[in-house]
Amino acid sequence: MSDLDKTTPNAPGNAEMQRLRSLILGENNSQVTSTVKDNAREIVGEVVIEALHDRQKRGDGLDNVLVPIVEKSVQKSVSNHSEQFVGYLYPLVGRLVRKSVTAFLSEFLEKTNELIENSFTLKGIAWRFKAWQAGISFSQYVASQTFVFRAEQVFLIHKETGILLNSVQRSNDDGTDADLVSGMLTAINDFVADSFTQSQQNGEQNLEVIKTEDFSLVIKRGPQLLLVAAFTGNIPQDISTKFQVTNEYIHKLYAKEITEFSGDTVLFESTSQQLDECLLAELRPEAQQESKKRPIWALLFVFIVVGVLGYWIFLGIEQNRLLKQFSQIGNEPGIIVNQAQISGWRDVAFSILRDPEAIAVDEWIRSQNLDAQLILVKEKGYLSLEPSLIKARLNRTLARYPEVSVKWQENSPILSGLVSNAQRQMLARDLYGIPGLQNASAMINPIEVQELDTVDEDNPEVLRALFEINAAKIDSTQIEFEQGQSEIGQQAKLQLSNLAGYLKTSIELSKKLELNVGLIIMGASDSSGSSGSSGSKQFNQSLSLKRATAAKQFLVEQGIDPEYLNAIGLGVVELQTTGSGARKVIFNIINFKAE
Amino acid sequence: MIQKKICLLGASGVGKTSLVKQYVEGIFSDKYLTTIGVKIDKKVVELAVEKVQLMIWDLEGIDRYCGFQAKYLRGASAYVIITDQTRSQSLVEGMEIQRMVREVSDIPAILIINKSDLEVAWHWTESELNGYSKEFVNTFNTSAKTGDQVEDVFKFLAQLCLK
Repeated sequence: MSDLDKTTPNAPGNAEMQRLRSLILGENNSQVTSTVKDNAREIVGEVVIEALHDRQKRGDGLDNVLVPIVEKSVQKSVSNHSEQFVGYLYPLVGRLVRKSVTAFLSEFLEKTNELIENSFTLKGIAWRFKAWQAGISFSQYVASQTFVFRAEQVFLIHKETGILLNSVQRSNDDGTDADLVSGMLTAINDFVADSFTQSQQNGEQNLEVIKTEDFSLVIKRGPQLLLVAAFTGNIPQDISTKFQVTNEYIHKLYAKEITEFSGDTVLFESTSQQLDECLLAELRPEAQQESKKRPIWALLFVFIVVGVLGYWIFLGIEQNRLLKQFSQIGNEPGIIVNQAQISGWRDVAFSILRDPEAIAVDEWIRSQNLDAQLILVKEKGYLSLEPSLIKARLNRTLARYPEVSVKWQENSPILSGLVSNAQRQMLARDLYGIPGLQNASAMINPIEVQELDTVDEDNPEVLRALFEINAAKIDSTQIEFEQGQSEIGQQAKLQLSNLAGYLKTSIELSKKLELNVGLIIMGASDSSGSSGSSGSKQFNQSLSLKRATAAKQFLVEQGIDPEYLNAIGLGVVELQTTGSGARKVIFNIINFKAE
Repeated sequence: MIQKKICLLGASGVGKTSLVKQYVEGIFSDKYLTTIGVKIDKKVVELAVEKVQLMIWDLEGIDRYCGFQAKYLRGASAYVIITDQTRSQSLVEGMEIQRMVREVSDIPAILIINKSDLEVAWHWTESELNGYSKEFVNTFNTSAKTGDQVEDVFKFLAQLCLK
C-alpha cells in the first residue's frame, strides 16, 4: 500500500485514482481499519503464539518486554494468594531440606570417620610417619596407598595459546598455579615437538604422557584443545580412550566458542561437569574392602559416646533410686534420716539417728534386698518415743516378770498378774524407768499382791524365809526425832504403821514356826540436846526412854500386843561418825525357839 | 576473565627477565629456563573496561646463531622486541629477530629500548627511524632498574591485545 503511495503521485490520472481509492477504502482507510478492528480479536488469537515464537527466535528484546510483566504477575500473585503459593512450594521445599540434611549428615559421618581412621588408628599413625619420611604430604601418601590410581587435577588447555580454559581438582589445598602449569606444559610440548621431529613426513611429535616415579600427566590432544590429567599411581590403558571421548565431546559442544576464542575463559566454565567426570580413581582391592565396611570408626565412636553417656545416666538413675529406696528407712520407727546424699559414682551416703530398740540397719537392708556395699551409713544413738518402741521396751521389762501378763488395747497395755509385794514394787520402779511410758502408776494397779495366806502353810522353809524378810524390814526401820523432843513426827508415824504391819505378820509367822518373838524398841539421843552440863546425862537418859516409850505406845495403838514390846532408853549414843544423827528410835526383833 | 598470551624477545643480556621481574611478583621456577628456553609468568592488568590476564612468555637465548622456537609464538596476541640502549649490537640483533618473527607471524609488535637509566650509546639514523618504526605499533624507553615506563608497556600491551 505504501509502495503504491510513493509511486502514484507522478503517474497520470492521479485525481481519478485518488477518488477511486477514497471510494473503496473510505476516508483515511477507515473502511479497512474498521473491518480489521471488527475481527481483530479473532485474527490476533489465531497467530499470537506463533508470532511470539517467531519474535523469540529473532531474539530482539521479547524477553525485555515479558520479564517485567511476569515478575509483576508473580509478585502480585504471591502477595494476594500467599497461602496457595506456600501450598505449591511446600512439597518441593520439604524435599530440598530433607535432601540437604541427609547429605550433611552422611558427609559429617564420613568426614569424622576419615578423621578418626587417619588420626587414631595404628595404620594412620604409621602412614603419617612414612609420609613424613618420604617428605610428601599426608594426603598424598594416603592417596598413593589407597588408590591404584587417582586423578588429582584435570586441565582443559587452549592448544594454540597455552591458555588454561578450565581446571578441576580434588582438593583445594594444592598450591600449584594451574595457569602457569598450563603454559609450561604447552611450552614443553612445543619444545619436545621441535626438538625430536625426525622428518617432515612423520609430522609433529607430541607428548602423550609425562611420568615420574609416582606421578603422571596424561595429555589428550584434540584439534584445538588439550585435555590434561595429573594422576597418582599407575594409570590403566583404557583411561586414554575415556579422555579422548571427553575431549571430542567438549570440542563438539563448544565448537563455536573454540573457533571464536579470544582469550575469554568464562565461556568454558561450564566444562567443569565434563572435567569432573575425568577425575577418575580406582581403589586398591584392600582399600575397597575397607570402604565397603561403611564408616565403621565413626559409628564405633558414636556408639562409644552413646554407650558411656547411657551408662552414666543409668548409674545416675540407679543411684537416685537407691537413695530413694534407702531413705524409706526413715519410715521405720526409731530411725530418723539426718542427711542423705550421693557419693562418688555409685554409692549413697547416709547419716541417721537410731534408737537401740529400732531395727538394725543391716537387717533392714537385707529385708529390702538392697546392696549393702553401696550404702555408707553413719549411725548415732537416740531415744525415740514412738509407741512401738515403748511397747518393745515394756515387753523387755515384763520378760523379767513371768507372773505378769500383758494385753494390748489400742497401744495401751493392760497388765495383770499376781506377784509378791516386793516384786510389785520392783515392777513399779522398772515401769517408771521406761522412757515415754505414761500412766505407769495406773498400769501397776491391776496387779494384785500375793497375800501371805496363799503361801504354802505347810512349808516351814518358806515360812521361815518370809519371817526373815519381815524381820529384816523391821530391823532396818529407824524413826527420827526433833532435837530434845519425844513427839512422833508425821514421817515416823508412817514408818511405824508399816512396821506394825510387818510385826503383825512376823508374830503370825512365829506362831506357825513355833517361835517366841519380841521387839526391842531402843531410844537414843545425842549430846547436843542438853543445856546444863550437870544433869545432861540424866536428861538424855530419860529423853531416850521417852522416845522409845512413845514409839511403843504408837505401836500399841496400832493393835500390837504390849507383851511383845520392850522399850528401853539407851541414853546418849556417842559416836564420832553419827554426829547429830543419833536422835532416833531403832528396832530389833528377837526370836528364839519356844520351850 | 580475558587471558592473552604475549611474548618477549630480544638478544641475550638486554634485560628481558629483569623487566618481567620488575613487573611480576614471584618468579616461576627459573630451572625451566635452561632446559626449554622459555619462562612463563602471569600478571593481571586492570584496564578501565575490564581485567586482562597476561601470560608473559619470556623467550631466552635468541641470537643470530641459534634462532628461536617459532612455536612459542603460536597463539600470542602480541610480542615485544627488547633492545639495550647501551649496546648498539643489541639493536642489530633485535632487528634480526624481528625479521625472523615476521617470517612466521604478523601479530602486532612493540619495541622496548631498555636500560634508560644508563647512558645512551646509539641513536636512530634517519633511515633507520623510517624503516623500523613502521614495523612497531609503539616504542618505549624503559628501565627495569627504576621501573620507569614498565607499567605503561604492559598496560599498552593489554589494550593492544583487546583490539
